[in-house]
Amino acid sequence: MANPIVAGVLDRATPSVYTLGEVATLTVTYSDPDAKSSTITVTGTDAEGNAAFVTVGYSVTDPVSLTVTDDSGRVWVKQTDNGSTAVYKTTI
Amino acid sequence: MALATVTVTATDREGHPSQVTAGYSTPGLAPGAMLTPHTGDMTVSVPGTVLDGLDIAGRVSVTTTDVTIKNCRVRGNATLAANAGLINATNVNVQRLTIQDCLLTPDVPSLWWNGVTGHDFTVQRCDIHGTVDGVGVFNTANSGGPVNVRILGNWIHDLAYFSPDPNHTGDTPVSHTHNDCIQIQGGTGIEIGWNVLAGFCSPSYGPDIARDTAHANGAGGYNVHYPYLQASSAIQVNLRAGFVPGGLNIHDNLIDGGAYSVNTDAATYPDFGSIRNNRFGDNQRPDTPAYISVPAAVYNAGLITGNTHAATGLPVTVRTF
Repeated sequence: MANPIVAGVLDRATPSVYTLGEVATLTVTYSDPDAKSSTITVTGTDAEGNAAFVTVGYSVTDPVSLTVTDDSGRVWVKQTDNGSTAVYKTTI
Repeated sequence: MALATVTVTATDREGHPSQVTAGYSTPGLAPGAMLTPHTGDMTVSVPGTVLDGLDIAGRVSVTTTDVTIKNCRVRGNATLAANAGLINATNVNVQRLTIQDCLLTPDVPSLWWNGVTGHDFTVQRCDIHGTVDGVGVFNTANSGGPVNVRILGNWIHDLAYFSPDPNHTGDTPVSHTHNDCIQIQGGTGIEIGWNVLAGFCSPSYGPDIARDTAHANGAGGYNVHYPYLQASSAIQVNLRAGFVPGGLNIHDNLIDGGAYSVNTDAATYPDFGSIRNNRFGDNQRPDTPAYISVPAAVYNAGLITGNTHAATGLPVTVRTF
């Protein structure tokens, strides 16, 4: 299993300077490189060679959990998370 | 400055972690910074001097090259009787001055105090307030030449309004300070980026706001933010001694207030520069508001572009004249 892929960006361009009292937004994009979808195909064949098949799809997932810490002690609160993008906010 | 780092850790079910970090800061001194008191004005004349961690009850005049002023508070003094900066870089010899992570605000605001004045400096991540102007850019020894100024990541706010003001005796009905977060008076080579420029005056620092009845009278005047008053501009571009400033690079700022938030003098600018990707609040003085005002002759949609309302992300209009 591979490590998750994660990236984070603040809403203020580099250098990221916020004034006290501002609300900062952190957008995190993430994914699981092990996640994949596969299909099983079952084929039945009779003595005359007649064949029929069914397919079953399945997915392998390795759920990713996110933790956000801040060495200033500010708490970042998750606003949304759709499974690939999470948005956090904090008050500076 | 208070530099902080936010760390995002992504972990899968097997406990495989991945981490990314992003740094951010707030302008001014770090909270709880321990400073060494210094009483009296300072003149820095030794090249390469570093002032670090001082609480200066006075002003600082730099007269040489490669000076750094960082993690300092500059309070000014109560005896000023002419326009000056809490940090003066007006001397002809100043080159490569760096001012960073400082708090610049006078203990005794007056119509004479500005934050930083002069040329050939970088001011970054500073909290500047309680002054008439935040930063004044000019070089009296070379008004048409490069001033080499970078103003980056600062918070300039709560300017000090006074009336009357002997600097503006022609005002009617009453003379008053013309407050700007940044005022450029000639020179070329100026970068203004990533700042928060709140073009408003605060009654906490200048007590005369109520005397400007044309604008500050909440009962009938224009100022809907009474007792706060819009400054003249957040960024003001003026001519000096007939020389036209140029090479402007104004980008990625958060700008609000002023009558016109970004205002430029009428002139033919041979090399105006650019105003790009700034976000604007919508609190300009309501009598004749504008986000950006430039002469029609220099307006170039390719160079004045990407400027939006902070609230909506929609483009702001550009006033031309």
